[in-house]
Amino acid sequence: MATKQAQFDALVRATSADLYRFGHWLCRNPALAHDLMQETYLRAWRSLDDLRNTAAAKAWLITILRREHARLYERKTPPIESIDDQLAPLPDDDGSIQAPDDASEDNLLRRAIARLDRKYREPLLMQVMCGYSCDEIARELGITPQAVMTQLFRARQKLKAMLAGGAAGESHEFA
Amino acid sequence: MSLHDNHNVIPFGAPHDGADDPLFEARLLRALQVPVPEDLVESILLRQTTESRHAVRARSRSASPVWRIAAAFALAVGGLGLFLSSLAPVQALSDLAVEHTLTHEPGATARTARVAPSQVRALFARSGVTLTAVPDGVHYINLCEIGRDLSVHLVSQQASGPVTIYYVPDHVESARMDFQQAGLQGRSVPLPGGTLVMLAATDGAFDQLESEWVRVLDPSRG
Repeated sequence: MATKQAQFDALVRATSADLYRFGHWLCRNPALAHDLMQETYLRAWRSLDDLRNTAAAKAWLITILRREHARLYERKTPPIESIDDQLAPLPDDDGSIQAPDDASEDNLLRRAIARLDRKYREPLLMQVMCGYSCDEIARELGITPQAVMTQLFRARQKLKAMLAGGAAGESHEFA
Repeated sequence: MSLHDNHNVIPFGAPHDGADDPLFEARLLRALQVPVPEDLVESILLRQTTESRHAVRARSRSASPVWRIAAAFALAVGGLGLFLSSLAPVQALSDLAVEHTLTHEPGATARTARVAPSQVRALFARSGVTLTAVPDGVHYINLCEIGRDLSVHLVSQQASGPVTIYYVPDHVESARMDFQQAGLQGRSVPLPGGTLVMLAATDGAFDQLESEWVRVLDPSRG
């Protein structure tokens, strides 16, 4: 029988990378995302006995993370202008990291995602990063599946519009 | 009018969520894969174990009045009561260590791959202990609950066979003792900040391991 500590260790190792990325895009700030992870998993540890279905652990953690984000977000909102400095380049396949290339498509897309209004960004993250269905997103966000469909559609259109319009230089949130 | 000009229009016949461009979806997924801090897992676990240890200490400090009265009563009943109460924790820790070894982690003694010293340090750090050095021969390490105490559980492979070692922080036994239980030889060694417990089929490596681990857990004994 696994102990509570062993169960928690396994949970952290299995889910923290995906959850961090979700938190990163929710906060749009690496330092805040790191803090958010600490608070999220601390809450998870305290409520671990409530987790009946380990297969649903990731969804359970996403719910905790979103609540913690809402709590932290009220206290501390990172300025949107600082996002460009925080979007570090991704490592290549060989693990090396190249110098930042502002013109690269990935960086343009990251900036565009960061500028999406939260009501578009959050369902998009849930669908693309977490593999949620529209119904699952709707339940998590408390809106209708039709509204989710619309927001997902508009999120993609806004991203494509920003990329087509060279929106990298814009500094406003794309609502 | 293009879609870019009016974001409120969903064209007839288009997939509602707009995920109809595989190339764009692949780019989107790649762009979202931001790097994860290398120390993320360890920092989360360190924070959690630190809080757990503080919670245990707080519970100990805020023992209920009923327990305080019971403790006072135990002191008052005299020598026999004192004798029994001093023996109970020693037996309990050895019982719990043997039970954990036989039931929770039976495969730990069969591990052959060495654990990196950095991992050993990291696990001890999570239990609030800074090692001055890392003895050789660790082939398994984990944090386990021994009763209500979060303990470092490790296995050291020796010429005489595997030795299971527990370090139980903040649980200081009253005296060093050797014991036998369930076919295992055991030794319990109290240290200033916790107790070291060793279990094995034979006690041939106990003296050497005790010396090595006491030196790194309690540098004052040099």
